[in-house]
Amino acid sequence: MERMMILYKALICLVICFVGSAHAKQYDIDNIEMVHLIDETKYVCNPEKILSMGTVAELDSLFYRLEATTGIETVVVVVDSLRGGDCYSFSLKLGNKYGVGSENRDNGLVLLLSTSDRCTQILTGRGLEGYLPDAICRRIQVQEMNEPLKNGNYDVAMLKCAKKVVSYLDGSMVAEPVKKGSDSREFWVMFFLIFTPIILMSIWSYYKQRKCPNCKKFKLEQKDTLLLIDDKKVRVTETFFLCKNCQHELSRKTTVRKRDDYHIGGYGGYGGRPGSFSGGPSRGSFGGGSFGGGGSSWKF
Amino acid sequence: MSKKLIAIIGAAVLLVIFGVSTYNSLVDKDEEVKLKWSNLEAQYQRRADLIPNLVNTVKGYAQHERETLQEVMEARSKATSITIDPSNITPEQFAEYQKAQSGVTSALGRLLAVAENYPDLKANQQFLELQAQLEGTENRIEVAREDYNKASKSFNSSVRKFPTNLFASIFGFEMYDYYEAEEGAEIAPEVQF
Repeated sequence: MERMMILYKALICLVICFVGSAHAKQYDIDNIEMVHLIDETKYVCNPEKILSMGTVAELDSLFYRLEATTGIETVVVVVDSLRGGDCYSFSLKLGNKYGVGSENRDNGLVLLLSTSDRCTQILTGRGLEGYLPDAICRRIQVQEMNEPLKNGNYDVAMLKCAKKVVSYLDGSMVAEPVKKGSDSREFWVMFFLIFTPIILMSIWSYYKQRKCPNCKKFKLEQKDTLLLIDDKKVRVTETFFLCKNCQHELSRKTTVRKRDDYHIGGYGGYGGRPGSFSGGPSRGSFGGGSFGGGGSSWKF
Repeated sequence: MSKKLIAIIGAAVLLVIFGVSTYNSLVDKDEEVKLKWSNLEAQYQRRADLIPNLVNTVKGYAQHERETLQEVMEARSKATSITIDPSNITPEQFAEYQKAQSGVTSALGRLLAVAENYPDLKANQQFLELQAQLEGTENRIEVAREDYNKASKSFNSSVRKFPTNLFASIFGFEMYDYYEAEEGAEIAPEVQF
């Protein structure tokens, strides 16, 4: 009986260890999914569901509004454990890898919480360092986040932090108008790709028509056109040419087949359920910003 | 005009065009290195500017640590007295500059370690914020150093590669020294609470 108990306890320990090791996934910048790239209205990477749905939704709406008004791009990451356990280097690598923030303003922001490593990071892009200096970041971490973090109240800590950060950044800058530059360039490229062959072909056919088979010069001139057949199915014309160089005469017959299968009113096919064509959320993107190491790291 | 002459003129024109574009790209890269260097210097300056405030704050709480405080101030004044132009220095001067800056890093590390012994100081808001600024500056220095090394690497490999190396030697472009990682600099001063 005693042996059975020991075996039983050992089994339980093994299961706990296994479950524990399977659960404690260590994150690095390559295995964290960027939710913003899938859905432009999402900002919070919460793979372990450490934050509640309500908090995530509130954070998403806060940072969506911040981006809409100021153009500041944010990434919030909340994980259990980081590979290497260093909040600062993780957020710097993450921010630089995805280019959070716009390229010319470097206005990216990364908020990170790693619960097992007991660290939190506010990382500011170079363009935000003036609005959210390191000292302010530290003040937010100490005054707003420290207490709830110590009590394991991660939702409250992240919400307080986000609200405070947004209050400093609100109105700091104005969102850049959506650039049409690249779109218009693409349009002109497509335009030339489509129309250049058409133009070249029409020039070629024009010259081909004017080439005299006798003297090989492009001196043929149209003299007269005769309508030979014009019925329901076909229209045949004969055109007479005269070469201005060698006075050579020739005629060419042109046959145009008429379509007899017109069906007026054959369109249709739209319809379906309203709203069913939206095709899911639109993907977000980051502007290619970079980080210079500004912000504050805090161990709670 | 003979065909030979035309060929020679054509080749000369091509050579000039190639030479100009090579020269311009080297100038661009050279400017990039200088820009990254000035950014690194600005970060060092920022750190130097923070030190007097930090020392004053610590002094108020830890009067017995005069030696450590003195050390920081000395390292600071030594580092700020050296300013260099990386395009026009000897490797020894460059090494001296690096040594002076790493002297500041280690003196600051010691000061922050000493601060651990003073709970009142650790709880002081001003100290906390100065500490955050200092850590942020150390991080910025690290990034700026990497950026400088990256720009130098790009410039140096252009200067060494064929055929750019021919033009680089004609126009007098010289390679930049790399910034070595400071001893113990990979660990920014940090206080655990």
